[in-house]
Amino acid sequence: MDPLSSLPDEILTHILSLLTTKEAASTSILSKRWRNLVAFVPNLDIDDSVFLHPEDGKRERDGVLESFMDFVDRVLDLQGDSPITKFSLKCREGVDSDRVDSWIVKALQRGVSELDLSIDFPYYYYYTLPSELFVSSTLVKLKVTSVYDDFFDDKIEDLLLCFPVLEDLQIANMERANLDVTVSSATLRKLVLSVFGSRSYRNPKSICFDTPNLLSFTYLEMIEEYNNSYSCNVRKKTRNLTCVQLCWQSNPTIL
Amino acid sequence: MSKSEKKIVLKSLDNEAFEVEKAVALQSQTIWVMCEDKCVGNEIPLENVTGQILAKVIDYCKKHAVVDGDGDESSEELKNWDTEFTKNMDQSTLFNMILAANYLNIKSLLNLTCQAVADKTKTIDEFHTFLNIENNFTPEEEAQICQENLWAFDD
Repeated sequence: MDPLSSLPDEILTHILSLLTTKEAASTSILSKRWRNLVAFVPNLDIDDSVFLHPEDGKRERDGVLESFMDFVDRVLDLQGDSPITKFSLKCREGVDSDRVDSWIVKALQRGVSELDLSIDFPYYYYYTLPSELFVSSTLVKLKVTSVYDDFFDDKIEDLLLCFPVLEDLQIANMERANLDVTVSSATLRKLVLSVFGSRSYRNPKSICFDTPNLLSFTYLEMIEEYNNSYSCNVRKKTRNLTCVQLCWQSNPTIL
Repeated sequence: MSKSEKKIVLKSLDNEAFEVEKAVALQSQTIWVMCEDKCVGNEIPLENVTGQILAKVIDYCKKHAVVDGDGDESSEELKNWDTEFTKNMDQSTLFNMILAANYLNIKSLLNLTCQAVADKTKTIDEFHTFLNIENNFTPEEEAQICQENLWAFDD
């Protein structure tokens, strides 16, 4: 018995899920059986950087970006309504923001519980994340990273009131509010925030986190100069909180 | 629990019997369910796994049972052991290990063996040779797929 022909599709897609998006996509040329196998990888990890760096200039050539976007469309379409557990998306300038939105919305419609978005669109894209994200009743874990500003229309205090079941949130480059604010969430267990201070550098306002179920809290803020107005009080109410990491940093780096 | 209850006998497809600690065997979800259901005695027949493969699976489970139980080995050591374990496996052994891990439902072993295949197959040529895949596309079909996946192919 040839062991390979008896490897079921779910094993082959498991193997594909351990490759980069590009390696996995290239297997569609192997044979008819492999033609669309890549579309059935259980955790979708779409990364446009795998074809940016190795060959300089390839991204800009005619048809390359388009074929990448068509690939993502096709993978999501081929899967039909089958549920997605985790969806990771990493892309940058050049990828069509409307299509990025449609991919995120499709993942949400299919009940995604974990989203990892690393979207480097510069400010002139005026990009904001689709509103469907904030009302998802399945999204438990969300990570948003960008080398530019965050893509949230709302300030943090409004943001966390959304997300009915979110437990784990990581945001990089969130803008600090210029008012004293209270951030509330009953579901959140883990929070990682990287914040920059804008106009309030010299006279920071307070942020109060009313998050009774929080277990782990990491906070990084970019400041001009440290002074004793930067401090943190943990109230007894959050008795399950076991891990707190705070950092005020004067050299702007990305978390 | 008496001493005999702590041991369990696994019988391979080719009737080879292996006596192992229950804690070792129970890393297999399939065996765990069989034991829970009390549908088997102390001897469990595994009809899909040969003695040669089962011996390797048991090696793996023993190693991982010790570490999980006593914590006397660092995760770094365990990782190195895992790497060595799959490093020199030939293609046929590796595939049979994958099938066994899948049938016995041992997630970490399935991950490890699938990762070993993924590590050996990074290019299309490696896929064709390592996985014995015959290209059954016409040249026209092949050209179309290449065009559709322009971004994924080095040219």
